[in-house]
Amino acid sequence: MQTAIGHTNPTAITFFFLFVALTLGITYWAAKKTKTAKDFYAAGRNVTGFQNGLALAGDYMSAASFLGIAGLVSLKGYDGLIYSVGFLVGWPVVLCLIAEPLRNLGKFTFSDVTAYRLNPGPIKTVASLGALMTVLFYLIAQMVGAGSLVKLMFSLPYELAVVIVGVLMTCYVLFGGMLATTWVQIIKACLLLGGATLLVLMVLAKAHFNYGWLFHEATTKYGDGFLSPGGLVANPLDAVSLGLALMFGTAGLPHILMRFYTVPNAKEARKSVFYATGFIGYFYILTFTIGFGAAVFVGQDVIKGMDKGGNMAAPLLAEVLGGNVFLGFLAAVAFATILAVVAGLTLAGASALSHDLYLGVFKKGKSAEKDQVKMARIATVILGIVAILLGIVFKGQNVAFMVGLAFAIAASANFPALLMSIMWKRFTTAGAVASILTGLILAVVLIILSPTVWVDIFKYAAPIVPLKNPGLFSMAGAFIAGIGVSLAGTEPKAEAMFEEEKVRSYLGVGAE
Amino acid sequence: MSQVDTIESGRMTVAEVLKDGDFRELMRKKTLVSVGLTLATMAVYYGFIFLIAFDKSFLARKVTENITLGIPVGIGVILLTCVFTGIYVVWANRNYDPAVAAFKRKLGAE
Repeated sequence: MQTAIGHTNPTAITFFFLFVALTLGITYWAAKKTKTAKDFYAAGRNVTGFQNGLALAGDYMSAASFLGIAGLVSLKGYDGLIYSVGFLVGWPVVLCLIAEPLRNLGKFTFSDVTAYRLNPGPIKTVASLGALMTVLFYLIAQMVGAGSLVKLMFSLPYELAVVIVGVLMTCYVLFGGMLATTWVQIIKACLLLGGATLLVLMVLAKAHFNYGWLFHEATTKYGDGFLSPGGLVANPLDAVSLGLALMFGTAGLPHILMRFYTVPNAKEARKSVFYATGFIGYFYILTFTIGFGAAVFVGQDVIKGMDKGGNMAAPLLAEVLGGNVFLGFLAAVAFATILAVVAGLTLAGASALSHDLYLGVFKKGKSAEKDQVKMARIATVILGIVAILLGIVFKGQNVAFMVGLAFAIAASANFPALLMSIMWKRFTTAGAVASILTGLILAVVLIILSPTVWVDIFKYAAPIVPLKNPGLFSMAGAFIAGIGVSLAGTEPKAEAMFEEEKVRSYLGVGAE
Repeated sequence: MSQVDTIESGRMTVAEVLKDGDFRELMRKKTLVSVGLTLATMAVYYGFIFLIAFDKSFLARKVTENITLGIPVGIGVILLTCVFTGIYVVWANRNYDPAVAAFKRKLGAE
């Protein structure tokens, strides 16, 4: 098949410039409204539940999940669906256990809540480390993906693509803060959901609006196994471990948790998760259909010929069904998707540096408003430069495992300490520090010794730890360390403050 | 902080709030619903994973000529996840928020 992918596509470039012009315009508008720390980190807490739902979905639906899952479905069929389900089931956990207490107790970051009744110095030091590690691994995966994707779709040099992405995301966050980032997410979510819906409608139109026909064609081409579980869940323990990391990792992602501070109250926070879950669930059903469409109308040989991992399945399908113009549109949407996700990550990383580490630890929580915003902006520039450098350093490396690692760290370092701080009276500062560090170290060390890194990247014959994802052991380790160390000591002040925390958490009184 | 002070200067101290029967009922119900739905989500998801791990042929069975059982089950897990968040939101909006508002009136904090 002759494809226009990799050649200069005027439609793609037009749509891309339109998106950049629109988002920079929004950033200019947002910059004028961004004066205080509350504006910068939390968009003045004026975002509605519905808007935040779209923005949460925008933060969560990365180009990797759009292109990657559609590709996985097109090559592996049903296994792609199993994989995508894992990314959705964390949302009820976020909603039921985290969203409302987080909104009622914190100010800008999740470690505000972890540190609420504990000694903020040590807690914020280690919690910001957990947040930064999560953000950085996630960011590396996104930047490397962005560079390769842009190179593949627009035939721009990799380094230039990384620099463009890095500079644009830094501009959004630096000048427009959370308000600009939120609107970039909302626009991106609408474009992505709209583009994917359009692509699915085209698939269905060609499949006579009959899923049965589509599935029939797919099994005729690739055999009955295409519609049933394949090799994805080969080892149950591995599947459980990955499942835990995905489920509880979602409830520990700094850029997701940060979004709950942008709404006025816990009720809106709650509503926003409901909308987000609906959008993301709908999106995974779309990508599943797109994957089948690509398998049937493009064919696996062509997809694999373009990119071994299947990442070009959706763009190729767009080209086959909608021609060059639709391909251009979808390519621009994929680029917009990357930009929005990295902007959210940059803001979360910057807030860990400036709000948690600088203000919370070095300034002991006391600093002039102007100084806080200035530090947040300096942290944004630092994050932007680090992201660009990491993107270039990791060029050509296999970074797919880093998203799994980011989720594992979120589930092990960020989530257990946050949950225990909200729910367990006897939790102590020492227990929280032990829990965060144990979770963080176990997640990183276990993944290095696992088949994912030890065998696939370092090329050793056998892994030292058999599990592909460390979630099971690193999460368990974090809970055991947190409980054990807390029980070994007492912290009367923390126990006393738990009472006030409960009143605030359940009644929402005194929420920022 | 200021509103917590309002509570304390109102009809009850924080310690009295925590001992209050209505507040304890509020907490108990919320914990029940949120932990219950979290466990339900885990049960559905791990049920799905274990089904795949231990009996692949079950999901490979055809329900119609072209569709395997795995498809409606997989899509069902996605829909159930959305339904669970919906149940929580509807419960919280209809039951929890009015109960909190009533309790705040009792406190004289509103």
